[in-house]
Amino acid sequence: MLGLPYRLELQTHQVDGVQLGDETRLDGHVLWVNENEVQGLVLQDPRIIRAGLAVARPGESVRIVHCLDVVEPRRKLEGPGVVFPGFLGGPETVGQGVTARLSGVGVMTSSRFPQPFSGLLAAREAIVDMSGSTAVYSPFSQITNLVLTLAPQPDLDNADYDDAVRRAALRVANHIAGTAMDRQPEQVDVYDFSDVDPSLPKVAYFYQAQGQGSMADTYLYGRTIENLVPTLIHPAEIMDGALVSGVYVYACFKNPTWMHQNNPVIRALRDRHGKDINFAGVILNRGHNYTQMEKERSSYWATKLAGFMGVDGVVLSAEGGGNSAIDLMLACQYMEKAGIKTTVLSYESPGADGRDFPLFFSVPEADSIVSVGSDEEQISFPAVERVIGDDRLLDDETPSIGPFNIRMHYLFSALSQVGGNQLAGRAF
Amino acid sequence: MITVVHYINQFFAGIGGEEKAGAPFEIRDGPVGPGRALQMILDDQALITHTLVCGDNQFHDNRDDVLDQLRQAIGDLKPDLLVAGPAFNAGRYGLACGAVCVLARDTFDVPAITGLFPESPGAEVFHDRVVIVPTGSSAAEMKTALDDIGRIGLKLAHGQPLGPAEEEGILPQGFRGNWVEAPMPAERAVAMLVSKLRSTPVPTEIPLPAAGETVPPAVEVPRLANATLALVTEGGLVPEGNPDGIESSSATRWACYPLADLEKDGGARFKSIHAGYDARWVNQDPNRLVPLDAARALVAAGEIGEVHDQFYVTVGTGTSVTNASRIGAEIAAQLINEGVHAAIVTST
Repeated sequence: MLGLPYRLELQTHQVDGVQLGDETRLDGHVLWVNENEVQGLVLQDPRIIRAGLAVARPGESVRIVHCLDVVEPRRKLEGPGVVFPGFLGGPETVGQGVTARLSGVGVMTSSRFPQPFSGLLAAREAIVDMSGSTAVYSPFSQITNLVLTLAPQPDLDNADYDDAVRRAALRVANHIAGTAMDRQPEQVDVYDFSDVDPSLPKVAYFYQAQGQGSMADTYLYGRTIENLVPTLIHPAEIMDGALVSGVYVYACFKNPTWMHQNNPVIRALRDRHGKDINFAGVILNRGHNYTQMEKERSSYWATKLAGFMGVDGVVLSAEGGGNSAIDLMLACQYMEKAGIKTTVLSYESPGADGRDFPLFFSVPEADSIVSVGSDEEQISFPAVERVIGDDRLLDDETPSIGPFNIRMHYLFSALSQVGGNQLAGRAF
Repeated sequence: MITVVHYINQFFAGIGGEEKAGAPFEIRDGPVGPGRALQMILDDQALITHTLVCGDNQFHDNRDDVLDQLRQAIGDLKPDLLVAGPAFNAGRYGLACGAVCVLARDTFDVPAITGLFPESPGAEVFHDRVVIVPTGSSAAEMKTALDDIGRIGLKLAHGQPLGPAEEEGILPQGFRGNWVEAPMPAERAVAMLVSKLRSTPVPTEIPLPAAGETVPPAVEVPRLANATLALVTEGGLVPEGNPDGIESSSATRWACYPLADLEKDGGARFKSIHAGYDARWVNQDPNRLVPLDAARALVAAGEIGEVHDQFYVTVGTGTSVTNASRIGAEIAAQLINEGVHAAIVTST
């Protein structure tokens, strides 16, 4: 089905170090960034009144707080459209031609929001530690983060500021990736699944992103996925930034834009394409449908698409919990009932003493679940030498330099259910 | 030097078999019976200083007295580790080993370990409270059991946290937690699917419960026109300042507030602190969450008797099953106590 003209060459330029300097350029494996240039790019948007720039390197005694999003620098070199379509250009279909990426580095945004909101609408604390015992949790402890510390125009609406921050990170990421032009990449990965071995099973990826409303939304080609019925998307489109994150619910569950661009399930399926399976494509689903009727409608629709694709198996992942967990499990159930084999990625929540049944909702058909870890762990954060973002944590204004104890929920992307972390929930 | 106290029964102490099961509690110096083999395994890393011996019938027939004597002995000796058994598939001996381990750990904070056959009565009773090495069913497996007890016991004595039960080689203690695992979950999920497609499935990482509890529908309220209706919600609507400190997620608390307060100023003094939905519209008009306007209209129309004068609230996002069940039971008990006949529970 996806064997049409889709062929994306993703060229990787490995970055091992980031330095602030006079010129934005790639010198060997060192990325030099001109601070004024980046600030100018950010402050093009009058909704942002201040932009600082800091570098956090793996192994440093550094803590980043108020993390909002991380974007991997990418730039379209050949082929239709732009990276981050719908944001940095029109919605022309992407996923073909050549795209450059800088690996090992992320453009991270960190900020407080202008208005005091509570509940779902508030950004929650989100922390990344670059070294020590707490660095095992967040995937962003493993890469160099170029952190934009931003301040809003004070009377701005939170949702409006959120839009400004998102666009700033995308602009900077695209700009920095320009350093890869006219250079030889270290690695080229081809996203082309048109070669099909009929003796291998066909497998699709059911990719559920959060669409819960303002401050908990995911963007597809520049628009939120609210009201989306499950739809087909080529993995290469996602590599070109078709999915952008705007989710600020509990930080541990978040799939930042970097996670979409580097989705570990897509990567694992690509690695096995032509060996164990044929990778048949991605069914993108909106998570957090509100009513039972909408949940059933969405799950039937996803199952129907899987049927149209003629797949034998599906890997399912979600973002967030609660309503999203029901959406995920219903899709699993309907697919299994339709004769399609499934595995499900899920976090678990076994209660403070670890003795509760760890899933909020499950179906008997979900007999193959991979755990990305438990959200019940209390984490001891040691004191660090330097903090980026703010000297206080959100909520209770604890000094962010540490030490402090805090729940897993505030560790950025630590339980991201696309499965790019290093944890598993296990029976002890 | 790590000190170890070892608990065994009359048989392994060489006193005798069933006919000597009434043998009284005693304390002997140094290792006895299987303790000698355990001491060789522990080598110079730990020293078995004393052995506590008790007949199997004596332990169960005079349980309180024996536990007092054990409490006295463990308190005096204050070892770094208590080892009980192994008792294999023995019923009374295994139960005694479990009880001694619980005593050491809960009363004196002394780490404790025993070895039991997984289907033995002791394992069934104590598996979620005691570190148990699974053994064969008989003493023919003594050497393997002692090797495992020695290895894991030393970890416990040194205060090292144990890893997942499967890795450590112990019976699962009934709780789940985090473990650093390779390869990453996405790769495990794809590998799991490939195995399933080849009809050689690998075990799930989160086993499902045998069957969930099904709640039968409540019986019909016989005379609604005479009934008192209560309004209950998990939507987090609380007076400003959240006086009862209900958590905005993973709640452990609930509260009730007078409807009279809610009706003042169109509910303007109430706000939702729930962290799982966009509460702007509830904050504008709390009737959207607690349907008091509709309930009052039904009372006026004579369809229901009256609305209970308080509404009940908790937060239902990220709430553990244990807490949710408890909160539900507590609210229900209070409603019954206050003569409520029916309730509408709104969820978000």
